[in-house]
Amino acid sequence: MSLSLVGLALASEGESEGFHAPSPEEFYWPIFGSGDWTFTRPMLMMALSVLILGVLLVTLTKKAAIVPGKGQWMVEQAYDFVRNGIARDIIGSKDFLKYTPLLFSLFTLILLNNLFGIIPPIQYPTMSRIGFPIALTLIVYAVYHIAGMRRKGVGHYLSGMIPKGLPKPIYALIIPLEYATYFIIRPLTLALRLFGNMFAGHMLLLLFIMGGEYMLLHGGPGLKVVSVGSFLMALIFTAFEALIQFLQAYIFTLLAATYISDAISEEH
Amino acid sequence: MSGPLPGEKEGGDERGPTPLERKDAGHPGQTTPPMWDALSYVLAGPLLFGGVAYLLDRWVGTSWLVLPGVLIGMAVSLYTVWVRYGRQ
Amino acid sequence: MHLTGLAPLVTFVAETEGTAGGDPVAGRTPILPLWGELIFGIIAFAILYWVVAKKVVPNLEKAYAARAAAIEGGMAQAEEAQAAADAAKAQYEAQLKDARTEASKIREDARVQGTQIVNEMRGQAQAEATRITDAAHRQIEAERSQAAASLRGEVGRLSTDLASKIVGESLHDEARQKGIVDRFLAELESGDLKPQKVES
Repeated sequence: MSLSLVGLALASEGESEGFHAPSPEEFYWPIFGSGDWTFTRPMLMMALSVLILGVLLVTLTKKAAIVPGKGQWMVEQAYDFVRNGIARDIIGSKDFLKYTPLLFSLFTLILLNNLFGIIPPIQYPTMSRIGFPIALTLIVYAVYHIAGMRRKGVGHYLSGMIPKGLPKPIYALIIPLEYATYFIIRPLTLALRLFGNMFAGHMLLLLFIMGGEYMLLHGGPGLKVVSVGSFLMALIFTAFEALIQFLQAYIFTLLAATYISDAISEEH
Repeated sequence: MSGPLPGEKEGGDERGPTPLERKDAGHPGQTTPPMWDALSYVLAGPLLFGGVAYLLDRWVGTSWLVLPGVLIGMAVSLYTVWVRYGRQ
Repeated sequence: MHLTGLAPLVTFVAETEGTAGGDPVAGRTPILPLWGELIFGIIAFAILYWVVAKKVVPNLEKAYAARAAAIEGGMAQAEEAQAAADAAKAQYEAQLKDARTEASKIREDARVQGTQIVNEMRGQAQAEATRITDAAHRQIEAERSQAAASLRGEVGRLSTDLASKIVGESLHDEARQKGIVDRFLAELESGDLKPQKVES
């Protein structure tokens, strides 16, 4: 909210002096090709993140030592966090091991790609391109629905989504709402939450940095002073972004685990 | 928790649980989704019922159904959130 | 969190609908995906998932299992050592007790045996003493009867001699024939004969 107000204010002020507030087009970074099949910079970053994670994780855990070295210990901290803190606690002892690789992959991939948003010289969160959150959401969506249907059978799986023991007339309203939630809104919010946070965060940083730069180069003495504040804000929000980036990776993984647990749990 | 552990068939082989399996046992899993997920319900009601009301508006030719639709949707959403999260 | 994300988003949906850059996809609403990126994302995740599921997680789980087993094993080993020590102590104590029992049994046996030996010896000595006494008695008896026999013969002969000298003829043969002396001695022994003055 504050973002769009500031953005509008700066835009309207800057219009006469030629300042352009950052627009969504700033997020489109083609490298080669055109149209829907353009190879873009976020794709390169995604490939890079898979390469980094793959090489790092495999080399650091290759020894599988009982007494871990520093590298293995660090991987184990992250793995512990996902395995015991998310998968085991939410899915439960019985089934969590099967889904741990999925959740660990999700968490590490999202976290690294989010952190790209503040790591120089990349400074661009991959997940601010909605194609990537949608890709991950589709995978989670397929996994939990298929797991639920295989565990309970299609009929039981669908009827299990509706809470039992409510007054009869209410079901006319509840049933469409539950199905809309399970099949449409949940994946939508899952993807949009991640995308929105990364998009807005990056936008905010762009705004402060570009605004500061413009004021410093083109503004009068008063604006030059203000530009210092703008850069300072960029710095503060960078630290804030780091927190958001971690939190969003955590929430995405947590919700994926919750949906899986919900789909395969017996009671409801 | 006394059910079979992962990778162990009920009444199958007679081996006891490994130390790791014993350590992992006893986590029942969480049946109530975390609060993050309540957002899905809060959005689902207004979107669904508002959407239906909008389609009805266009079909019947009226233009006042969307607001009550959204309101009903919010009410149903809040009720569902209460059922899911607040009732235990 | 998400709301701060969604609010400007709505603005941008409205703002950017009409914009068209060099490439039409450049100005696409940010909430509509570039299909290439979506597909690329799925493939990238699939690759990472494969690596994690096939290489990373099995290794980590192996380390976890080994660690849990090591800790548990260490505890089991300590318990085992404790049990072994307890067993050894129990065995030692049992042996000690056995030894004590045995020693006292031996002492008891010795005592019993000693008594027995003493009794036996005593019995033997007694028997020997009795035997010697008996033999002595028998010998004395034999000597006495022998002496008596010879005395009787002697007395007979003396009396016959005496009588012969008085009578003047040998009475030996007749005395022997008639057993007079013997009868006399027998009467003398039994006390039937009263000493009397010899008449005439």
